[in-house]
Amino acid sequence: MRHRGMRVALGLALSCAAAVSAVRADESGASPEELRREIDALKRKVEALERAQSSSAPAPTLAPKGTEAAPAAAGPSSEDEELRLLREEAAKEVEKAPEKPGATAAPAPAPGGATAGTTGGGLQQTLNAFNPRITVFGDFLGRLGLAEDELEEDDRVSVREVELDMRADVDPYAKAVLILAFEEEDPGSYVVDVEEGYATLETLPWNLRAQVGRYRQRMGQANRVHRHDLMWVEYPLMVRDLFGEEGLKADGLSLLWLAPGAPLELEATIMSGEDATILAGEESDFPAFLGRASFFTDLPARTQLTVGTSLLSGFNDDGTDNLTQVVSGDVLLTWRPTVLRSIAAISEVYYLDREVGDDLRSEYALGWYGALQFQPIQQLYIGARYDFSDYGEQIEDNDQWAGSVYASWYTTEFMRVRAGYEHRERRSTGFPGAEGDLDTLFLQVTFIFGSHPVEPFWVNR
Amino acid sequence: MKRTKLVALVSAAALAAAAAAQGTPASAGDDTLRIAATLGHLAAHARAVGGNRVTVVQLGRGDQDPHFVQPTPSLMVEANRADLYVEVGLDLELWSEHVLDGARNAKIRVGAPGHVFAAVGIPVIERLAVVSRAQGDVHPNGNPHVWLDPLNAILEAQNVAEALKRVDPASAEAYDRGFKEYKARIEESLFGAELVRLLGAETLTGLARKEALADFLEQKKYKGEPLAKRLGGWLGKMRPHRGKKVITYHRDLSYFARAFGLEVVNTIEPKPGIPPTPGHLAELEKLAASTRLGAVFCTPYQNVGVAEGFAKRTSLPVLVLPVDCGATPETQDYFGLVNQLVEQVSAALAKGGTS
Repeated sequence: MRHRGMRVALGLALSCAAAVSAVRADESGASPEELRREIDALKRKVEALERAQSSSAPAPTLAPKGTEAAPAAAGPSSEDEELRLLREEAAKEVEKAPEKPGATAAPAPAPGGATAGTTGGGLQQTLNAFNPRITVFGDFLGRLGLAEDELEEDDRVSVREVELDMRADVDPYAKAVLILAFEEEDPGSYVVDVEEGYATLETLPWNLRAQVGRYRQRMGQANRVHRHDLMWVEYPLMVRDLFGEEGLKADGLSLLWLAPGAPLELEATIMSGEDATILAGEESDFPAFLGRASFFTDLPARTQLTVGTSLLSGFNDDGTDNLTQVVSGDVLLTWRPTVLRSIAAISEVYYLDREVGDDLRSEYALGWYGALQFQPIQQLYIGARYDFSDYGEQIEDNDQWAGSVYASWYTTEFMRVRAGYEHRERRSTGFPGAEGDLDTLFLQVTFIFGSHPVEPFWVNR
Repeated sequence: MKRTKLVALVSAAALAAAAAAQGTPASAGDDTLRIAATLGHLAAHARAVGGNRVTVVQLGRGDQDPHFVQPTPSLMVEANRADLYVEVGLDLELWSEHVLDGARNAKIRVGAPGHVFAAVGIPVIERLAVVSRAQGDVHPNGNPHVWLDPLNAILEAQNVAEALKRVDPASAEAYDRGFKEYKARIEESLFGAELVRLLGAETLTGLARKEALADFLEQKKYKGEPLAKRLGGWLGKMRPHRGKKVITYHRDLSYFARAFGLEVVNTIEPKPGIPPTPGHLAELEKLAASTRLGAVFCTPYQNVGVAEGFAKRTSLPVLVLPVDCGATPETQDYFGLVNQLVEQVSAALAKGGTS
């Protein structure tokens, strides 16, 4: 009732104002257009007054535009008025309060759900953003020979290798990795080598993934790991005897298939036959083949098991059609009851069948190793390894075994200090200089800087 | 002749593998949407928003350091079967890229509709002006442990809901409904139902985001009493402890502290990811002697022994707090997680009685 009276009064006031304006217009000579504008302005004023009048009723929406309405109280009362004012004050406070210091919104997604950067959240705005992620690995090694017999590399300290690791997306379908190694070839003299340089095709159908380029071959477990990332200072004896000091790496093309919904991966690789240690070297005129199957499963009590087998087949340099075949089997068991304790056990066996001579006589070799590592506290890993290999430059009557112990201490996740001891016994009637016992102390320091790499399989954090 | 045999053998193996690949169904007969979530709270959001339309697999364990999950082949198999992959982003799960690569699933690669960074749009704190490893294992894009502020959890869930709508538009309404209900439940759990009814969740959220809520509620009265008395939920429970000082092991509780008004005066780690040194611990002991501290917080994946030793020397209570869903039987969903955090922290700070 009160509102209706107010409206009538306001309407009368408007009419009077219009009449007065018209009279003034006549007197002042204002045009009808100007009068209409004045009336419109007055109308707006009246509407504003009406709005102000009606605002004494409960106001359902006091939140800022675009936000949810604050709940309305039932019926007009002094309580409602109190609440209305509170809401109004709260809304004003939201508007006037300064932004939270130090908080920046992570970037909004691009169409399709992507955000800037591959790890989410980078506000990169320059073309530098397309540069590869870079990590540098340094591997410093000191060796001290304790026995009468020593190796050439004993009794010295050196930066054994520095690796420059670069990786980036190539396009929506492929990624690429380039790892340059600066290796000590002779004391104090370094050579640069392409340790790995490959692209992976990530969006193939049928659960396939392809890798093309130069890379460490998936022959067993240890061979796939870079030397600075090993659980030990050196590769196991049999890996070194078969493939050389740095294991088997080759140019090739791999197709990897992950069984849908099953813990099985199969791999087929066509690789260059030019590896001089195990295959035909420069004489090669035919590629070699590598196949691998690995089965992996999660067992109870936070235990993971991986079992794999690999087969390498290619021609060697002893004649034209002489085959070399290496079969390996590997088992890796990790137990991580907590992030501060873990056990890793690994074992691999290698069997070599090599045809030699014109009569294609077969030579055989067998080697294996087993290693156990325990993490008693967060930063410390201690372990031991036993190696046996009966393969050297000549297979018969040429074998060696070694036992080693080591302790690795991570000062931070970017630096590791490792001390170790190895006792090795060699027996050879085939060639001179490879007999006798070796006792060696190791001190290794590895460091990493640049982008954050994923930890090797034996590290538990 | 021998070469021919070798080529035939390899070709046969390749054909067999290809045939097996084609003959095997890509996913099980289940018609729900499969979601692979890197961490427990993301899995909880996905379950809440997706309801019975989704099957969710959590890749990292709840009691595991989210930075250092081992990208095992088993995780790749799970991701291989996923229609949607959810990760926090902000350089938290650096292992995730390896899982995605190994998964061979184009639907969930970064940039594909089936991939989502849950932290998008969240106000990030502790973003450094200068980034260097001299500052420890820092995150160039800011602190990624965003989810322990419930308002951030809402934004994460919203990102998950949007992603679900993208990959399953036919059920968009259901996901919107699921998100709305989840959001309302988190808001009521955070502010208490009464305050949400009085002032509205959006206004409360706006005030909380600008760190103006506590002052506003203390200063303003309703029916003769400070509004703060009507603050319920997690914030109501933590209200007596606002402003109390604590030490944390790592910066993984910064968002929780900020949301609930606690002040983290230092960390057991001298710098993020750097193990404590005797010198730094001695400094902290001096700090504890000169400052009234409430408690020491650490998480199951940190060196609890070091935190306990420090707490013992300084007579402070030490709390081993769950920071992700699934860390304990009580923290199976997001509400359980924050309930547990609030219960443990408020109980310890009440005993300490410091301010």
